[in-house]
Amino acid sequence: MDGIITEKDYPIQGLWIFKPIIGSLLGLIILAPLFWFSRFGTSKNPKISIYILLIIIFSIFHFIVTILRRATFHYSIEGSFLILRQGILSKQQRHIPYGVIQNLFVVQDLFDRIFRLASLTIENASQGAGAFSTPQKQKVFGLRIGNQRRQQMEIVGFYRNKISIPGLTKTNAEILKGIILQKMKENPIEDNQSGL
Amino acid sequence: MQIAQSKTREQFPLSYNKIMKKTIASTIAIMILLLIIWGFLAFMFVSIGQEVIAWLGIAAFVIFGFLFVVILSTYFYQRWYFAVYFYDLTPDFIQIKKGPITPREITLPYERIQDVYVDQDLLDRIFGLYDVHLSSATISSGVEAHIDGVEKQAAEGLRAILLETIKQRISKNKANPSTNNPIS
Repeated sequence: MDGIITEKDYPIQGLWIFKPIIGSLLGLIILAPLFWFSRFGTSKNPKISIYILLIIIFSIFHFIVTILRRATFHYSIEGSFLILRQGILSKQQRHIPYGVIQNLFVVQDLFDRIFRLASLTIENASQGAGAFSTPQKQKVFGLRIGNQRRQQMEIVGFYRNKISIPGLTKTNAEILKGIILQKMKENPIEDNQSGL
Repeated sequence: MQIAQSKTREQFPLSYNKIMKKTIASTIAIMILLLIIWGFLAFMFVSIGQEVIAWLGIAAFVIFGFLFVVILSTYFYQRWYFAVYFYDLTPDFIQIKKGPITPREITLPYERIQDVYVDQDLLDRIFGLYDVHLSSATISSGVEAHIDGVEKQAAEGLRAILLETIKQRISKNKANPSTNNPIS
């Protein structure tokens, strides 16, 4: 497999930047009728206006940060390493040998399903980067419950032992997964980690 | 409803008891929740001092009606979940994909697998089901990479074939060390 593959070949789609603000939009939709009644009803409640203003400000801020995060995240699949760069104000760079990559996830939430997107998540075994700090799900009556909201929080870039590339098209996510698997096969670590 | 087929799932199929087990598990959890809500409503009406019997009857009717709808929806959802549940042992990795509405797929190369274990919770024991878990060096793989709801023969078969494949891959890697090793 020749050539360097970067985010220019398999980009994060522009549509993805609207995903984080959907929660804020839902909040606005819920509060809008209350705002209408508070403005034109018999009992005026100024607090509703403040809440709506706060949501709008937060949404705009969140939207800008998401655009900047997407613009400043770069990945490069090279011969021996997966190279990552990210950071809006403080810059970070990581070189990850393919041999330490443990798992690959391709995940689609509801927004992704509607717009045919997918997130590719790569996990490595770096203990210092938090490989052992993911909260576990507990089983209650055969159902798994746990810190699902935190686990499902979507980021772009690397965090602890996870590298997340959201907003890819489903096809691109599968292709990238295949490329990384091939790189893992071509670049094993001599002292493999399996105890079996 | 078309079942997601793979060679591995044909050889080691999921048990249809899984659908009932998951439905019952969800029902128990929801029933406990609704009981708490009903108890809270009863306490509220008694403390207000109103004529409670009629209101409690209506609340009970609504709650049980809601419970019936939830059980039915859960059953059909679990059937859908069962149909799209996909797992396959390819030559290089194991792939597990679950979830009808928000699918999650994990791909785990054999060389990364640290542990293969089989377990049963209480409802699994009642329905004769087993869960086969795989884990790499990350805790999230232990949570995500499992094939749950197979019968004993399939669980033992899966475990045996996984252990054998892993051993073969390790032996093969040791016999043919890579020249592209970035570490050396």
